[in-house]
Amino acid sequence: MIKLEGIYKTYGDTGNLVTALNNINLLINNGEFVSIMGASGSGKSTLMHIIGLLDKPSKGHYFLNDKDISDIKENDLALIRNREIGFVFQAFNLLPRTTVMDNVMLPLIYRGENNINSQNKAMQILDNIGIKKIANFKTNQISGGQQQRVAIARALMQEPSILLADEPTGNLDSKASEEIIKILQDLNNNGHTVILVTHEEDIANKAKRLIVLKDGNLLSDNIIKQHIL
Amino acid sequence: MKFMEFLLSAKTAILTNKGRTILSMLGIIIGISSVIAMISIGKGAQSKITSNIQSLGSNVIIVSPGNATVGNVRQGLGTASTLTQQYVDALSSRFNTPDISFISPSVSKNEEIIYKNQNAVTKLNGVYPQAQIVNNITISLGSFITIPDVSNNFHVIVLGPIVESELFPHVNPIGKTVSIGQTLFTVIGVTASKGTSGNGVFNQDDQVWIPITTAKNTLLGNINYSSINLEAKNSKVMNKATAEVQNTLMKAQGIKNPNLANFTVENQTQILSTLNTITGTFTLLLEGIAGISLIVGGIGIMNIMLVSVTERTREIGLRKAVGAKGSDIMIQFLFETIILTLISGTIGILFGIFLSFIISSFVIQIPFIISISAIIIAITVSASIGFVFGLFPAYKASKLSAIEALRYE
Repeated sequence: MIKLEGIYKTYGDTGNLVTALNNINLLINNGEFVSIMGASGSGKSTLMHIIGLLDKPSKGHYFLNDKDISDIKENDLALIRNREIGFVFQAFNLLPRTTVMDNVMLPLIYRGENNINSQNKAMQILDNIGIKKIANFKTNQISGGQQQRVAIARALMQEPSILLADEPTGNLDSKASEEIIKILQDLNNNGHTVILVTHEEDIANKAKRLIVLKDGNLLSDNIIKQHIL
Repeated sequence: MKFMEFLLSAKTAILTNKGRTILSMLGIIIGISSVIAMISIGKGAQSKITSNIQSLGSNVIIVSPGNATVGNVRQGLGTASTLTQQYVDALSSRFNTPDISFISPSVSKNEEIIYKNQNAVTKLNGVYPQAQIVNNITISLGSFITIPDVSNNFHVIVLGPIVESELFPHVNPIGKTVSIGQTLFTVIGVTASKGTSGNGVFNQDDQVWIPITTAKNTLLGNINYSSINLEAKNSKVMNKATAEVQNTLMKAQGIKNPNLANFTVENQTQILSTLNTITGTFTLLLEGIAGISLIVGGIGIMNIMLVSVTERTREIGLRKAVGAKGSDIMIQFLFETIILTLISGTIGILFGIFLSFIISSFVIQIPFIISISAIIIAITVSASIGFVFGLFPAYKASKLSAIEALRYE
């Protein structure tokens, strides 16, 4: 569960202050599928960085699973990122010239859990998202759609509270995009909390709840129509 | 667990840019191999000098001519032939030198010796029989110069093993006649090798001996002595005996100030320590130069690691996003640099051993010595270079902000 209370994020000094996020209050429950949408400069990336613990708010409180983590040290943040947040990036961000398997295992290495059990687990996850047969391929030998699946598998290895997907289809053709969105939907149906950041409306509408940001303010927060029964 | 990941990541990074990696390693390879080669050559030279000096004989005191003074200008050492019969007589007195057991004055000159169509240019020594004892000469064939040879002015010659192999490669030389200039000599003996190698003044195997009377009367004229070798009674009285020789000669020259002496008295220990100081300084100088190339190599490695950190900014961002701490990133890059320098160090050691083998076998002919301590030092030094010069790039990598690193194009 994510609870944001009065989150501000400002850049620059007093004379030249830029407000990226202006008093954001937000509650996302476990098991939700939320899209965060907005034009560039709307503050959606900043919000994602704060939710993903890559950045700290200038003011306000962030509760992750009822624990206030607004003012926590960088090393402890790394630990929480490792346990709670799974990232999927637009540019895939896989380790080059490294096998799919090693990429998927990466988060567990920083937990010190690189063992045969976790290797079996990785194999299982790769099988679930249909890329088991490329486990020993190097990441530069596979297609963009496959790379993004590897990135999702890597995030799933962490068994995270939240799956954060930042423009996950931005570098993919429409067919691969659909497949990736389908995977995210399936994961959500299996109980994963998914947050999807995008500027494309049709992609955003694949989620169950749509949050729209404009100029650092929360413009709207609605349940998507086709999900209202 | 993390260790294996660091190893894997280092392997990937090193193998990704093979050409660049090898070029950046070159500095360390050259540095380490020259340090190894310099230490090896230094030790080899020292060992050769020591064995050559020791082969002169045990407990030996050597008197050589001093400096000639020409118009108040002191000339180089050994330029004057000042060792007169008067000096030899003074040293021969038991009263003056109670701790000396033998005295062996000699004259020497480089001469060409001819047997049939073979010839050899070597050091010719005119000696008394006691030279065999003082200079620790062993005979392998025939006999050494005897008292009758000296008193009767016989034309006999004893060959060193190198001269023997040059003049008589296939025949027994005993009884054969060789010529020096117009004078004929009968070979009466061959000395055993002292095991010294190389050419030049220190090779004890490349010389010949004839009776001193024959040398003075027939070949060289009535010249002064080239050197007077003396043997102390035992090693304990070396310093005392050396002082006795010094004092006797000063009295004979009629001087009180040792700086005015026209002779030099040295014992084996002094010669050894002087020469060892010279080779030691020389080796240190060469090692210093090699050491500088190690620093330059380290800077090269640091440079390439900084480039690598910049190139892998996104990778660093990703690693941080999935839970790597700053310290994990720091250790990863430090580890990579140390592996890089250790590999360079190992190649450098192998190349250095090869280089010293080539130099000691074919270029200056000294014993081929590889010291284990030099190898341990080289490995430690290359790992330390990796640590020291890897620290800055690794620190820079660990301090990258995850967001900026992920955004980096």
